[in-house]
Amino acid sequence: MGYLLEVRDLKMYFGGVHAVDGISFEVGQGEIIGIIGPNGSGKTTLINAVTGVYNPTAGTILFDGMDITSKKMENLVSLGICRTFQNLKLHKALTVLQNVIVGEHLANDSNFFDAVFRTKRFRQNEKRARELAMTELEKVGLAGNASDFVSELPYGMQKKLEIARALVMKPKLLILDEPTAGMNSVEAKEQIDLVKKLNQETGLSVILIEHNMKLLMNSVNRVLAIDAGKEIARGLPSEVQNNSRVISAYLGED
Amino acid sequence: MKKAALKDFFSKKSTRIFLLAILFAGLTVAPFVTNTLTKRIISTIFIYSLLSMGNMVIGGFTGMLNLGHAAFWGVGAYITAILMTGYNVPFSAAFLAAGIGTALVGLVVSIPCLRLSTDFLSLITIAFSYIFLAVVRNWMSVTKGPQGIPGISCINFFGVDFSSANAVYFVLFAVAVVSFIVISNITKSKFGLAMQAVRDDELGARSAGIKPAQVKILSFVIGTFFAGLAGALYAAYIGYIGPNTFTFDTSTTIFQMCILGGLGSIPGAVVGTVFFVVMPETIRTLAVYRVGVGGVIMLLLMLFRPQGIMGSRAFATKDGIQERIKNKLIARKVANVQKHV
Repeated sequence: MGYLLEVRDLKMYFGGVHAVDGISFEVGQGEIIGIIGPNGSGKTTLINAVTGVYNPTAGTILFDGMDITSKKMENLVSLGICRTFQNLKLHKALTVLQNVIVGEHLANDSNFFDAVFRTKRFRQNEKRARELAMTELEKVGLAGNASDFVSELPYGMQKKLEIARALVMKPKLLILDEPTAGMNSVEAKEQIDLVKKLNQETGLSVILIEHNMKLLMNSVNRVLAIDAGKEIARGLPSEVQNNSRVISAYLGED
Repeated sequence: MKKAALKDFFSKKSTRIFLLAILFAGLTVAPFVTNTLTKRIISTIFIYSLLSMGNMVIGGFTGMLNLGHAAFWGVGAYITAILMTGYNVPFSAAFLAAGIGTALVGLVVSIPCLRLSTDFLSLITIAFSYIFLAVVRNWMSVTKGPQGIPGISCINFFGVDFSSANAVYFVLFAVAVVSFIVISNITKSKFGLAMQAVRDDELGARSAGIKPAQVKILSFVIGTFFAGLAGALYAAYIGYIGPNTFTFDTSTTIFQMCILGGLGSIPGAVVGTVFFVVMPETIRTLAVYRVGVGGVIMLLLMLFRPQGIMGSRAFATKDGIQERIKNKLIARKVANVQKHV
């Protein structure tokens, strides 16, 4: 059976620092994969290398059977890989709705001529973009804040907004980099439930990077645990949770 | 309460259309009821608003600090002057050539800008404005050096002569209005949104499939295209051009117009233009101190309304001086209370 995403022996070196050192994993259609690891273990670097923020030092990445190893992030969107960021990458001087419409950039097929002369196609596209954006905002529960500026939103809502911006691109694979960072346990639970719901309703494949192991245990299919750029455990959440190497990575060794 | 009502009034679409209609009507009758000086000032506003709107696209929407816009204006003006006086090209063709030629120059200048962040990019644009001046001042055979090019014939579209003062006024008016509509439409489309997305967070924009390099080049080409058109109009309107018009000082004035009007607002660019063209005329008696007045106004603006007159409130920083004064007063009150307890 073919996987949606296959990462083979990925390495990302910055000079002498081996931030990601030979990690392999795969994501099946409709699966939620959790990636866990203590701070500085290379989770975000791994995802940055996969999504083309960095150009990996070595290894291969296959998406739907296609080699995407050195493709840049902006070229992955049309293939169906979308992501959010650990440190919010939102557009602060735009409204919440506009931030989501930014995600429609590629789907909107108005050309320059349409924009200057406000053709029928332009007006239809703009209307459609607004409607689709509102639908996504409703999904994440931000419809009531559509005309607020991003800088006026609390942190948790900004995290949700990033998810809405990614969802509007209709991804096949959604990569969430610590979607619950900075949230309290109730908000974090809600956020993970939202992801779970999206996965169940639309069959969206998800990679969920999370620092807090407990949150993932009931919601993901499989877990990959990494530390110091290397895989230390993989398998079902319950297996990984009790793995001695994972416990020692989180709690330190005696 | 009153403030909110006022805000409501101005954000209503009908109010805006009404105000625009009054403005339009006023500008239409203006040449018939005012004197030559006023007409000249308004005409200057039309030309400068092309510059400030173009620079607004580059600086206010895409966030590239362009401090060489006057040089692009100069490129357009010199293209027009050289074509019209040296090769007898009709104005209509020279007008188009100035726009396209300047946009090409803008394209070339924007390429090194792609790899640079804002500060270094503005250094490149400053360098460009000095290179432009050096070329124009020394390339005697083409640009006639420091004496400039005189005897440029008047604005003339497809054989129709617009040599009377009122005719010129209406040509400039028409070009300014059309440019305003075109630039507004672009900035309100997905292209404008992409520009703002790149300005606010390049990585976030890339994650939405936007290619920052393309967006930056596009905005530079749009901005410099209109600078080129402004150059053509200016050359034919004044009839003489010399290097001293297109200096770095003029570039900073154009940028000041954008900042005063409010970054990210095309109507703001026009408001800023009106201010910086009219202000020096009204305080002529202050002679050289006029420049200082402009500076003081910019300073006050940055302190009390950092987002500019029409800028989005999202640009207003939270630690603006008003907030800081308020915080300080609160802190003092708290300290007083604590002293008494």
